[in-house]
Amino acid sequence: MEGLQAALLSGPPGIGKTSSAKIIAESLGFETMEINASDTRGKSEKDVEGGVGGRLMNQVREMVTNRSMGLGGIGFKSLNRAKPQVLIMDEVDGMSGSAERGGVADLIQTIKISRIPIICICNDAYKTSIRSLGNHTLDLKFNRPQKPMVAKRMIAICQGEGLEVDQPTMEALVESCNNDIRCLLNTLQLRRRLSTKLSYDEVKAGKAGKKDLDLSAFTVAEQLLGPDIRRLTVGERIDLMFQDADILPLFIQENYIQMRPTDAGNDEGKRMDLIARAADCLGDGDILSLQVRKYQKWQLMPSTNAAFIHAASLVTGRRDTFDQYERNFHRFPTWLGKNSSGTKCRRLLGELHAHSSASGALTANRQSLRLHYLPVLRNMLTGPLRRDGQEGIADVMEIMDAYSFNKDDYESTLELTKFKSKAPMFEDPTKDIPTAVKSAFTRECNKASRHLKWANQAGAKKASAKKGAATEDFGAEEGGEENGTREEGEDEEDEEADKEKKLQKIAKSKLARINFEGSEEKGKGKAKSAAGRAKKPAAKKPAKGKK
Amino acid sequence: MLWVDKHRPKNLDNLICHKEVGANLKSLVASGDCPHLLFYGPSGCGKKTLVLAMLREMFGPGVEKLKAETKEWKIERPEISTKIEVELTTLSSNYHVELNPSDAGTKDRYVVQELIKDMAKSRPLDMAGQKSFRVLLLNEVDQLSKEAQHSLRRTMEKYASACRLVMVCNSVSKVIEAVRSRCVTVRVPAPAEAEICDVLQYVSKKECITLPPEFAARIASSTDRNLRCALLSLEACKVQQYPFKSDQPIQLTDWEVYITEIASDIIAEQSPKRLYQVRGKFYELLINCIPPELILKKLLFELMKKIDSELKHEVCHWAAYYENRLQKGSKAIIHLEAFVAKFMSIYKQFIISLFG
Repeated sequence: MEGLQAALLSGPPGIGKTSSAKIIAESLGFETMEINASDTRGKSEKDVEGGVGGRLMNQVREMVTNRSMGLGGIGFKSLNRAKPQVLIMDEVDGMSGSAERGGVADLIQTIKISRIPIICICNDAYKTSIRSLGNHTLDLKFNRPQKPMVAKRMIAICQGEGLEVDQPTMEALVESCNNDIRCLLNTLQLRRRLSTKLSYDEVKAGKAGKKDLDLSAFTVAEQLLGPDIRRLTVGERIDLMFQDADILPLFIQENYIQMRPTDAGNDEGKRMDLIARAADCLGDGDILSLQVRKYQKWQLMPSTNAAFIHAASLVTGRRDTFDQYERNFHRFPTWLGKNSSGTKCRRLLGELHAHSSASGALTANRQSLRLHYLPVLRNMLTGPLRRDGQEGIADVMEIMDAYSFNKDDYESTLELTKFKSKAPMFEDPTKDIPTAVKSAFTRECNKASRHLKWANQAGAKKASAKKGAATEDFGAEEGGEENGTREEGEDEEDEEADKEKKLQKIAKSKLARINFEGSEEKGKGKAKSAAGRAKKPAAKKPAKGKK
Repeated sequence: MLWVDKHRPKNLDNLICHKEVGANLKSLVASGDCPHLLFYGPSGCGKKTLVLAMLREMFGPGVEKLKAETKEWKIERPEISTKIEVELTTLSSNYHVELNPSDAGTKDRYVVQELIKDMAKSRPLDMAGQKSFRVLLLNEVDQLSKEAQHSLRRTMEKYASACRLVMVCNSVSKVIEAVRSRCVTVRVPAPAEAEICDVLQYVSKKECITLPPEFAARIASSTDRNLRCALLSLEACKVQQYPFKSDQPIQLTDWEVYITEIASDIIAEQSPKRLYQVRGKFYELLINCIPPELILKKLLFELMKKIDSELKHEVCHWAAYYENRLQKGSKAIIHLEAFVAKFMSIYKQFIISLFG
């Protein structure tokens, strides 16, 4: 605690972070000043160009320095004259977004110069945009309170308000609200308006609270593919699909092969047949969803979902593993990651095509470039280096010049012809090239005298824009001492990691949307494992509902 | 430079294949004017070579001075109050602009409606002895969406005085009737194997290598009458082993080898686990920009080599069925996988019925 001017409270919504902050401040005799970060930022966007901090930060800085100068420092002896102040920055993670990333840096700067305590509150302390805040604040994590604990307190409140609820009912209600106290209180207050009694059946029937509040996609996928799905009607299943109609089909597509359908029993032939039929249904769903997205025929949405449900219900049963060490949980859809790598490769191919067409030598289209040229180029560009070492460089450069390739295009060529396989043909062709030759080749490629016949305007613009954004980001920190520079390095590293692990990035953003229960475990890269653990408690829910 | 590009005929006079087409184009150009043209034919048959040679005939060597530009275009759409950004690469000389509108993907309609219209409107400066029109060279028009093709119709008529469209595509049946009827269509067939052998011999002579006629014939027959493919394959074989032996293996491309691998995987075992592994391999191919239709086709051919003739008819039927669905859907992996699942199911039943 020594030397830290700020604290960072993090935890899921509705469990009393803001209230705790206020109560603590009050009990210590502080005057609280709450700034709802997302509100102020919204205003500052209009007034201040660039959006970095803007009006919010002006106010905050003024306040932070004003008081401290006026009082000559914060101390308890000044209590007589005026109350000391504490600044509560609520929802700091709402201050994200690519344009306002500097806001966090600004806040860190404020923390450094501030002479009054600052309490920052957020939902997810691991969010990339506010991670650097963690280095300057005392990290205080708020977990969801236990179900019995919440229930007990709620019952006491209900008694005070004249609403009759018993323990199991309250616990069911707590569960349906996901342990969110604020949501719970709102629900109860509304209930009190209508009657003075709440029964267990009413809670279960979903009259009192929202029953399927934020089910995670993992949970729903488990439900849809699990044997219990047969108890639900088609309508109910379609409703389940609407929990997230974007990602659930992908979940089904990812995991349906792994099911051992109850219908097939031990008949492997039947199992294969069912899987083939399920694959057909997935195809139907895909065809329908294209109509929905491309031609905006949203009336087809239920049919689309029905197709996916049909696929899932054909293979419902026990989940099987293919590998001894594989964990028997539903996988997060790999399609997302594969698709983004595919997009990247298509972009690379596009660049390659643009560059080599500019040379005037190539007339083939992209597809033909990939299918026919690249396999040959792959050998021609690496063969001489492998065989003749330094002498081979000239041969390779000749081809590179003929097609206006730069070093990136060279890498792209290898990237696009890379396959995961044990066959000798797919070995890394650069494996046997000595490092000295490689670096000599790189030098040759980067020579200024090389005349390439294209000017990459769009690419260059993007690159410089990115550079500009980066300097802007860290500009606020440069005032700081060593701390600031260390930060900078870290953030850059993050960006690098982001680029390389697109899959994880997508997985994370998707997961953030799904908002699954185990959010306290939501570390970067741990998304999958966290999700795996998270679905365990959640899976019990539907089973209980039937009793 | 690779041989395939190095020895490309530059003008219409010294063609080895498609001499007749060349002569026709020459007389067309000689008349001073030219209609809109639509070249069609399979990949690697020499469409682009003919087009470039024709442009050279039309405008002189100046058309070879190319400038490549990748630009981001901003298109205002007031009626839907959004701004659409399209990035497109154009390759232009003083006399023509070449572009590939289908690169814009789903936004191809705007490319046609805005960019092409703009380019078509602007007249070239009328220098003495110059043609009074520019040429817009559009690649892969069969890949354009129907909406984009419809947008092309009006442009073709309205700005015909300032601009000629030369369009290149593989399959003329994917170009709408309305566009086709506004053009003179030029069919460029795949060269016969004998013609390919002639070209191979010509290139070998230029490169001072000896090419045994039997080996040339083998290259020609293995590359599906694709001239580009044949030339690349010749060069790849030369790198592999020279002097040539007539029984030398012909280099297969990486993706062909990989799909063959998948086919043997499927034949070896039909189980959900194997299907899962095949999915991983499909992803590899798709990431590496191998078109899904081609994967399906090649896979079918490989499977056909290995299965009992009793099954062939049925498997072909299903391959066609899934290819159709592939075209109608958006996620290729689902349909590829469905084909393999179907095949595995059929094949497994067949094996069980055979051996009990």
